[in-house]
This record gives sequence, C-alpha cells and structure tokens, in this order.
Amino acid sequence: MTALSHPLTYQVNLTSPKTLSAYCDDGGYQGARIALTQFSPEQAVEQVKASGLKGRGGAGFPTGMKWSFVPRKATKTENENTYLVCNADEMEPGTFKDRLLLEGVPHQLIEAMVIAAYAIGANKGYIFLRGEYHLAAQRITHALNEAKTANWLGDNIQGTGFNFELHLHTSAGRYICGEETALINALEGKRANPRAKPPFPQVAGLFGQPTIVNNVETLCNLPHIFRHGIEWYQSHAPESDAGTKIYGACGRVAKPGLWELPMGAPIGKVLNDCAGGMQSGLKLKGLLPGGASTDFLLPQHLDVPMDYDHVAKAGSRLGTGGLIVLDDKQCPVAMVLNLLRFFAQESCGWCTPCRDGTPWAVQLLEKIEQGKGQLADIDELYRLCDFMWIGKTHCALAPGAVEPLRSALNYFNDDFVQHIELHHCPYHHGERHG
Amino acid sequence: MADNQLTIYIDNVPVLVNANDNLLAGVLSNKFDLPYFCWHPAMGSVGACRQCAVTLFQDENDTRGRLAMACTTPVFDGMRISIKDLAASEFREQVIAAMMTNHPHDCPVCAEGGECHLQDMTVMTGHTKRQYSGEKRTFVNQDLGQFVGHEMNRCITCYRCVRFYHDYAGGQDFGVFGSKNQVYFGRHEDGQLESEFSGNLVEVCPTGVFTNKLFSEHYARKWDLQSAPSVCHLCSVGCNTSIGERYGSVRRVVNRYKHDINGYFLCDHGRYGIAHVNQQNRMTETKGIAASLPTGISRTDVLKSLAWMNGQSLIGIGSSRSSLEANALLKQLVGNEQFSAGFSNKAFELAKYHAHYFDANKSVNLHQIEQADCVFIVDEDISQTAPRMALSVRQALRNKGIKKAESMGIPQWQDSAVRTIAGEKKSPLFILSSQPSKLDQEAEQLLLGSHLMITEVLHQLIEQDVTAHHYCTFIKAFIHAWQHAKSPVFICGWQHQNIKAFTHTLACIEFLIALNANSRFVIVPPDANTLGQLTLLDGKTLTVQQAWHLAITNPDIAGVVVLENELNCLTEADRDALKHSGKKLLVIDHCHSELSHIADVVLPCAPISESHGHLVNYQGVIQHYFPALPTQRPVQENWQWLVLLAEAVTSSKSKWQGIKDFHQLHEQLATDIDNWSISTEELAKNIARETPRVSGRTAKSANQSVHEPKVTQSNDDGYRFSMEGGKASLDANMPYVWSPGWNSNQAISKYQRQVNDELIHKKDVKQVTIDYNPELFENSHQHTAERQLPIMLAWYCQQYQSQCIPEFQLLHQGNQLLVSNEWAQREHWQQGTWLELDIDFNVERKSIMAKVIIEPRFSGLHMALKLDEYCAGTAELNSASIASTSAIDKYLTAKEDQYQAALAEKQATLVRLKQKDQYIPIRLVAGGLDDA
Repeated sequence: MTALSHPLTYQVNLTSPKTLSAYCDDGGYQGARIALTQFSPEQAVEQVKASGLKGRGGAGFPTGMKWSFVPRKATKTENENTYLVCNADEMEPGTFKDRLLLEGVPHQLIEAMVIAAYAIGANKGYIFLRGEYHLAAQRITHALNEAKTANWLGDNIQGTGFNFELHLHTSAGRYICGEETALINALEGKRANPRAKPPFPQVAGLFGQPTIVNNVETLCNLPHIFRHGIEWYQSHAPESDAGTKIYGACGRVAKPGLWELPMGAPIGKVLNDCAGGMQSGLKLKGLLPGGASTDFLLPQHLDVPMDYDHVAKAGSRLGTGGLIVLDDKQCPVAMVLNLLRFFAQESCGWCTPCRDGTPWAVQLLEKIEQGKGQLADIDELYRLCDFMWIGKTHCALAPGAVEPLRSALNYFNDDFVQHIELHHCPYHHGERHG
Repeated sequence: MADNQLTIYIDNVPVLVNANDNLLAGVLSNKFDLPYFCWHPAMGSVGACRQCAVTLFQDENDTRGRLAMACTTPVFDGMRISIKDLAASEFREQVIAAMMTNHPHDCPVCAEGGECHLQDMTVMTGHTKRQYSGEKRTFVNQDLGQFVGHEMNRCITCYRCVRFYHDYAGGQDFGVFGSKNQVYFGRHEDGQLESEFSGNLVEVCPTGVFTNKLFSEHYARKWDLQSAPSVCHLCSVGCNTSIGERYGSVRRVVNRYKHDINGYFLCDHGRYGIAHVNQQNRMTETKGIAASLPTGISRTDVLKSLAWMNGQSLIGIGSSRSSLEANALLKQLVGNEQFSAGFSNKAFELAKYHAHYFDANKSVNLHQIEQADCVFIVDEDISQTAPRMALSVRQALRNKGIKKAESMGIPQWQDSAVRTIAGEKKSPLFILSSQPSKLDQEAEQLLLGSHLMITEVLHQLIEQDVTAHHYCTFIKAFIHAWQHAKSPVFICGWQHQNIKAFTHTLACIEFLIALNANSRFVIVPPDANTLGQLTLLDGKTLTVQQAWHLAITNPDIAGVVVLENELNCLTEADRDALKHSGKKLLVIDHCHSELSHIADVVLPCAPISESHGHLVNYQGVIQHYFPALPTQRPVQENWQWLVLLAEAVTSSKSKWQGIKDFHQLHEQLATDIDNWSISTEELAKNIARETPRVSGRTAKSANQSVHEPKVTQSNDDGYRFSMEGGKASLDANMPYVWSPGWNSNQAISKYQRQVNDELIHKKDVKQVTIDYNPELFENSHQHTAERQLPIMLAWYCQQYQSQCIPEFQLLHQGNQLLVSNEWAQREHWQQGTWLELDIDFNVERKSIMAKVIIEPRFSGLHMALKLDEYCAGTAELNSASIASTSAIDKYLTAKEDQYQAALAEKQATLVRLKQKDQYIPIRLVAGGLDDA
C-alpha cells in the first residue's frame, strides 16, 4: 500500500488516525500546498476537470464541471459568499466507505476541502456529517483544531492570502440529506426536503448563495490529483473512469469489507478476490452493486467492470460501489420489503408518488411475504414501480427505491409467485433470514 | 396577439397563453380542466402533489412525449401538450389513488362535502375504485381555537396550508411536522391560531382538514345556501365577500374574488365578524311605535306614532359604518345645517385633514401595494386595523427577492425556487409608530416611541436633517430607499387620533413626492364608509358633540335621529342632558347600544347581510352590497326607515317606495358621481341567489311543511331569492362561485379572463372625489407627551358590533400596559407586574387593571395600552400604582366570569339558532311593512 497505489487509503489508521504532523510527514498537505501556490483558482478547476474525477456519491457527475458552474465575482459584498459543503451524511444501506475515510484519515478530508474551497472561491465550508458517526465527529473535531492551529484553516492560510473557515455539522439523521439540496435545507435549519431545481446550488444554494456540495470520497481524491498530477491519476484505470475507487461488500460473504482498487474492477474481483466469495454452503443469487438504491445484478454479471458506464449498461448503477449480496437461502421478497420499508421511512413526504407510493409498496410486499398476497398484487407492484419512476417524482429517492423492487420483480418473479401460491414464504422454513 | 402571449397546442388545439405563466395556469386560463392541488394561483408552484401531469411532446412528429408537471413547466411558443394522453391521465389517476390510500371515507360528515376540491379532482381523474386494502394512517387532531376545525386524517399533504399560513401570511405558530406519510400540519401544541388570516386555511385546504368551526356548528351544504355578493363592513379596505344564509340565519362569509382588492384572501375579522348579525344583541323589535294589529306594525302605525315629527326640525347624526345612501338620505331629511356625519370633535379634525390630502390618483389598491418596492408605515397598525392590507404589504416585501430570481431566469410563479434565491432579501419596509405591530419584524428600520418622537422624526425627515442624533440611521436609510424605489407606498391612518402627529404625517406627502415622483399614498380611515362620509361633508356639517348640544339648546329642534351609531364619544352627562331637555331620541340601528336603551323611538334596521347599499373604501372606491336574505318584519333596511321618516316629516308620500326606486335614489344623491347606480341592464339579470341544486324547492322547508313555499318576491335589485333566475356568473358580483365539475371555490379560474386576472365581467371602478376643502388649523391642545397612552386594539376589538361576538370575547387576553425600559426602570415595574391605572379616556375617567409588558424597542419614556374593549384613539394616564392582591384577584375573577359568560353565550346562540331553523316563517316577505 503506497501513496501511489492506494492514494485514498494508504494513510488510514482506524485505531488511531494520524496527527497532523504524522499526516504531513507522509505527504499530507502537499497537494494543498501545490494547489494554493502553483495554481490560480481557475487553473485548479481546470486541473480537476482534466483529471476526469467523477462524483463518488452515486451520481457520477464530473466534479470539475460542477465546480465550473459557480459564478466568479471579482469582489463580493458583505452579504455575498460562496460555500463548500462536504456531504458526509453516509446513510445508504450497505455503504460505509466514507466512514473509513472520516475515521481513518480525517486530515485528508480537511486538506481536500481547502483545495476545493480555494478552487471555487469559498471562504466558508461545512462538513455535514451523519449523526450516528460519533467517532468520526470526535476525530474530525480534533483534526479541525489541529489544522486551525497549523494555519491550514483560518485566515491567510500558509501565507497565501486565502481564507477558509470550516465547520462540522452533525446531522439529525435523514437519508434524504444525501440529496444535496435537502442537505442544504437541513444545514439552514429547515426541513430536509429537496429543493426545486433550478436554481442549482452552484448558483443559489446555502442561504441563497453559490454552493458546492461534494461527497467525502470525491473530495479525498483532490490532494492526490494535485500532488501526483493528472497523468498518474488517469493511469490507474486506462480503460475506465480515472482514479481509484473504494469498493465494498456486505451480506453473507466470507470477508465483508472495503478495498481501494483502480476504478473499473470487475464485480467478481471484489466479491471473490477481496471478499473471499460466499460463506460456505451459500450460493450467490444476486447483488445490488452500489447500495440499496440500485438494481439487482445476477451471477452472470460478475465480469462487469465496476464503473459508471459498464454497470449502467448491465442494467444497474455503480452508485456508491458497495455490494449488497443476496444468497440463495435468503428470501428476495423479504430483502426487498426490508429495503422498501427503509425508503418509505426515509421519504421526506414532499411529493405524492414517494410519500404514498413507497408505503403502498411496503403494504403489498408485507402481504406477499406473509403469504396473503394475490397475483394481482404483483401487477400492482409493477404499476407502483412505474408510478414512482424518474420524471414523476420530485427527487431521486423514490426511483432509487424502485430500482431494487423492479429488478427483483423481473429477476426473482418466481419467488414472488411462489409466496402467493404456497400462501407462505418458501424460505421461512430454512434458516431465518435477516 | 399581445406581446406577452404565445401559442401552445393542447391536444392539437391552438390556444393563446401568457408567456410569463406556467403551463398549468395557461391551461386553466383557457378553461381546460386539469386537476391540481399544491399549486395556488396566488401562491405559485412547488411541484409537490404531481397531480397536474401532462404529456409534453418535442414537436408535431413526437407521438410518445414525456410526462411533465404542468405547474412547474414554463410555456414556450409552439409547445405541444396533451391532457388526454393515456400516460398522463393514468398517472393523474394514480396520484389520486395514492392519496386515497389514507384519505378517510367520511365525506357524509365532512363540512367540505359538496364543495371539496379533492372530490372534484377525484371525479375529474376518473378514479372510481378503491385499490388499496391496507390500514390507513391516523392522526390526533388539535384544538386550533375558535375559528378553525382540524381533521388531519383527511390530509392529502399538498402543503398549501403551511405555505399560506407561514410563507404567505407570516404566521409563526403553525407549521409542518414529521415526515414520510406521517406529515402533520398544525401547531406545536393545541391552541388558538394567532394569525389574523387563519380562516383562509379553510379555503386554501383542498379538502376538509381545516373547516370553518362556526359554519360547522350551524351547518348547511353549499348547495343549500342562499348567497349574495357583499362587501365587508368591518374596516376600510372593502374586501368583497359572499354571505351565505339558510333558514333565516347567516351561516358564513367566504372570500369573493376581487382582483384589485382582496384577491383570494380575507382576514378573520371579515370572515367571522359577520356573526354579530346572529347575536342576542340584534334589535328585532320597534320601540315607541304603537301597533294597531296583533300581527305587527304597519306603515300607518309608524306614521301615526311619528306624527309629532310633522313639520319639525330635526338633528341627524349619521355614521361611517352605515351606507353612503342612508347617510345621504339622512342629510337630506334634516338639512345641511343640522347634519352630523357621525364624527366626534377629534375625528372631525382628522376627517378635514384627510379630505384635504386625499387624492384618488395618488392612492393605490391592494394589488398595487403588492407591486411596491418600498413601504413606509407611520403610526397605523394595519396588521390589526386593516389586516388584509398588511397581507399585501408582506407580499410587497418579497419583490426584491423576486427581482433577483428574475435576473437568474426564475419566474415569480416558481415559488419555492424564488424563496430559495431570495433568502433573507426583502424590499425595504420602514415603520415609525407609537405601538408595536405584527409587521415590525419585517421592517428594515423601526422606530417605536411617543407621538412627540414621531412628529420630531417626521420633522427631521422633511428637513432631511441627518446630523448626529439617534434617528439619523432611520432617516438616512429611508431617504436612500425612497429615492431609489420604483413604486414606493406610504401608509398612515387615523388609529391613534392624534391630530398633531396626523398633520405632521400628512405634511410628509409633498416632501415624499418631491423625493420620488412615483410615490403613492394610503390613508387608512377607521370604518367601511368613512370615505363616503367625507363626500357628504360641507362647511355646515356638525360634529357629533355640536349636533347633540344644538339639539339640547335649540328650542326649534324637536329631536335627534341617530343612524347606526352608538355615539361613544358622548358622555353619560351628554345623554342625560338630552333626556332632560325633553327632546326625542330616535335610533335606527341593527344592534343595541347604550343609546338604543334610552331612545324614545327605536327602529330596527337590517344589518349588512339583509340590506342594500354602497360603501366607499379607503381608496374612494364605491362598492355595492346586496342582501343574502330578506328582512323579517318589523326590521327594515335603513333607507326604508329614512324614507318613512321623510314621509312623517313632510306628510307627503315619498317617491322612493321600493328597492326598484333605489337606483333612482342613487342618481338623486350622487350628483357629482357619474353613473354609479345599478344599470337597467344589471337589474334585468335577475341572478338567482340560490344554487341550481338547492335541495329541491319543494323539500327545502320539509322540516315544517311538505308544501312548496311561496318564493320570496324578488325586489328588483338584480338578484332573486330563488333558484330560478340568471346564472351566478352573469355578473362580476357573483353570489357564489360554481362551475360544472368545479364545486369548490377553485372554480374561480373559470370566471377570470386569465388566472389571477380580472373577472370576465369586470365592472369599471367607480371612485369618489372629495370636493370638501375645509379651513385647516392646527389644534393646539396636546396631551403631556409622556402621559400619552396610544390605545392598541386587536383586530377583534376594532368595531363596535364585533364586541358582542362570543368567539371574539373568548380571544381576550386581558389589558396590557406596554412600557419602555426607561419607564419600567423609573417606576421599578417588572415584566408581569399588575398595575391599577387611572386613565382619562376620550369621554370618561376610569380605573382599569393592566399587566406590565416591557417593550425594549420603545424609545424614551413611552407606553401603549392594549385593551380588550373597543375604544378609539389615545388616552391619558393620570396615575398608576401597583395593584393589590385583592384587586388582581377581583380582576382575574371578573375576566374568568366574562370568559365563562362568553362560552355560555356561544352555546345559547347556537341553541337559539338551531331552534329557529325549525320555526322559520314559511313566507319570508321582502319589501315594505304593508306587504304582509
């Protein structure tokens, strides 16, 4: 594990993360120093654009392009500001990659945010942290203090004339805060409902001011891009999107965990080489490649490279890159029910399809799982999938809920029918699921 | 094709739409049916309910299209959409189906039934079958106080209530709680809704979550109401209302859309203040008239009993809460020299200045106020004296943010996006006042202090004196904002009746025009027809006190006729003096007052719900109101009594006998006002006051008789007491709003030229001019500044009639003395200290209890008194002392007794009204006393 092979994780220490000096000794804050001294803000944006870095939060939007939408003003009035927000509200079921970075190497994020803030012209930033990440909160707070003392935060950072104030905000805990405009509302003390777009946050975000919201992992790429350059960054995965990616696996695999690999590693490599394959006696039935809100893939998809385009071509989404694995002894209906309960619970309640559609799907899935379903309920579930699909809802939450449901209906239709015909769950007699 | 219009194709039909509109508004403007919930014409789009989905095609070759939410989609030239397309119509049906997973099956007991937007939209989408078999979500409801019922299980989560209450009207005590399908709209705990616009929740809610409590308690279905177009008589704004009646009692008031004034919203005073017509305090019997027959009095009886008036000289005292024509008739009856318009000595001074400075061309209506980009309010708490105007001011303050959004390409109707962009940006509001107001927290600059301070600030403002003193921040900021504004509006009023401050305030007008030629001015008078009274003033007009003393002292005068005026500016001694002088007192009113108790003759007249007339609002706009139900003998309309009095005085039959002569009366009276009477054309419309669906004419009195009642004779005022006649929509003055498929008030879009535009049958605005140009001289008498107590009244105490409404009495909070820090420190008063105050009110010296509230924003030595009783102007404090425990106990006990009495009164009224429903006269006879 070296800075060049595993840039994101080589400094990770989960038991005792590196202090500022230890972090610096191993190349820390070099990227920031290079960015602040050798690049103008505009050049820094161009550098990130050229690097090909795509957002690691799930949507895969090119980061540099997102930054370039921020209006630049030569002079700002007293009430004008540009904000940088780190989305550390990692609440996607089955996803825990940001936690690794937050707990294991907090200075990397701070360094990254100094670079991003400099590039977009932000003098204020917030880390919006999932409320349950208590340990991360402690470690970030400590690192923030260290960074302030060492003048990596505050006024006239390292004598460059750049000012940046960074605050930690711990979330009250809603999945929807992963949606950047809902996050901004929550940060303002409002209800965490996604906002109408336009205006996009890059133009009018936090307190009506230009705002960039980036995911933890996305930001953590920045120090290395500036330290080692674009060519190095793109060399990791010449066939795929640039850089490295933290992949994960959970479910009944032999060794659940997280691994930093070059972007575009095949699913089979993550599942079999990294996670050691299925636990003994179990067979792979299907998997969600990038968190709960992605479509199921099947054993036949193990060769698919895990990058944005290839996973999409296979009928799902890369999402967060965290596999949720379903084995042959677990009930897919129960799994989907569990996921839909989560989405129904986390619906912000703003638009009708999501607010009233997800609980309706839960009600039907409960009926089926309890053996009280009818074949017509499957049709109704299909109708609900259509009802909650993209273009019909206010944000992406409900379509995200539809993805595992509709793919389960397609791939595991027999299981649904069996529940109905047998009037009970066929998995229920075996090992207890969940 | 106008510049701002473009063509879109709806199911291949080309139509013109406003280029600045969203697609939903464009569709509705062209009278197509498209269901919606969260969008509201006044509140814009947020895209929550997803109900208004249509299919949007790329071009004429695109047959597939994609779904688009009409309310959040801007229109463009050549746009092609389909409402009928299967994908869109199925999706719309599914949205209803999803809402119905939780909506209960309680339509039969729901007060919204029959005028429910959700019912209408459900039918419109074709959703006719229940699909959901699971459990329904339930909520615990809240007690939201006197006016608004709460039934959260019916909620379809469209967010309109909170968007109105919080976002639009600035209410802080109502919000949205919870998430997922457990979103809850209400208060943080049970309690009276604090906003003076709470009643609009009833009209804004598309279903029956929020209902009108008073209406629900004495309920009738919308289709069984007999309604008439009316005008609110409770303040000077002149909001248009529709009064609904059944079985001889008024059931409710709802908003009647008026583009230039109230738009879609009323204040609670206007909505619930009508309750006074149903109270025990109503006068329904004559006094001093001997009946010759057991069936009641006749015209002859009246003329015989009033024979003493023949050839006599009388004093007439009118009122600004009575109609323009009744006052004019009274003036004609008694002659110019013996007429008082009902203004006290103090009020008459204000009236003179008002008349002098009033300029209809420089005044603005509420719609125009909403376009203002800078507002300056001086010493008038419009949030209580003219609440609907305050609501418009709130909208004006959004203009800065709206402008910023427009510069970013976001149109005004994208409500949530505009609010996001606006952030805390507000157009500047400046308030200079002797008392706090609900608008204060919106003000960029705020100065609260004595009237002396106000005159000082205004003086320095006119001098542009920005040298170092502590008003200079205000003055500097104000002058800068006013100069740079495109449409600045200045608002002041009569509230505290402080002539010195008032004259200084009005003296600003010239300066403000010099500062900015686009300046517009609003002077808020106290009553619904104060401006009408100003048109009746001439050099001979008397004040109330002058008229009263003339009656006492002049031997040639036989008596005093008082028209709908409780004359609270007279002292008890004044009233006794008249009694002792032997002069007769004749009172025409619809509710009892101290005056009616001592009157020799009482003639009960009809309140607004049963009569015709015109009111002139603050802007000079003349508006006509019509009765929702006919009067019941011996009650007569005020003008009918006055016609009869004229006959008694002159011994000749008046030429005005029936309402059909009424329009001639107008012509007679209003010599300087062209053509504001009802035209023959309008009369011929004969619009039905009852709905075409009234529960079967033969069945509507079936609780008493299965025989079909005789239809109350129409009195040729252009409306009929019947389900037969012209359609409600034939005239701009619609008795009710209804359109096929649209049973709720949302039907209004069918009668607007375009969404949010004027009504199709718009009437020309008729505005008065005031020729009266009195000599102005400054009243030298002033109270000692620091002893002055501006009186603060909540909206429910603003009118004499409103006092008797038990629901309003239940809102009383006890007297409060607001004091500045300086005062509190000097007197060692603490927050909450009870004081016994010796106060000089305008007419009497009284001792009252009040609780100290420290108002840190008051400058200098300043106090204001918040009272629970109707009382105008400013009082003077003689002394204040810390109250004894026993005095406090006594006061609190009395308050509690009043509260209990109000509760009992409320119940008693309800019982009485419900009983009355069972014994209504089968024949309600409209017209004169001899028509029986």
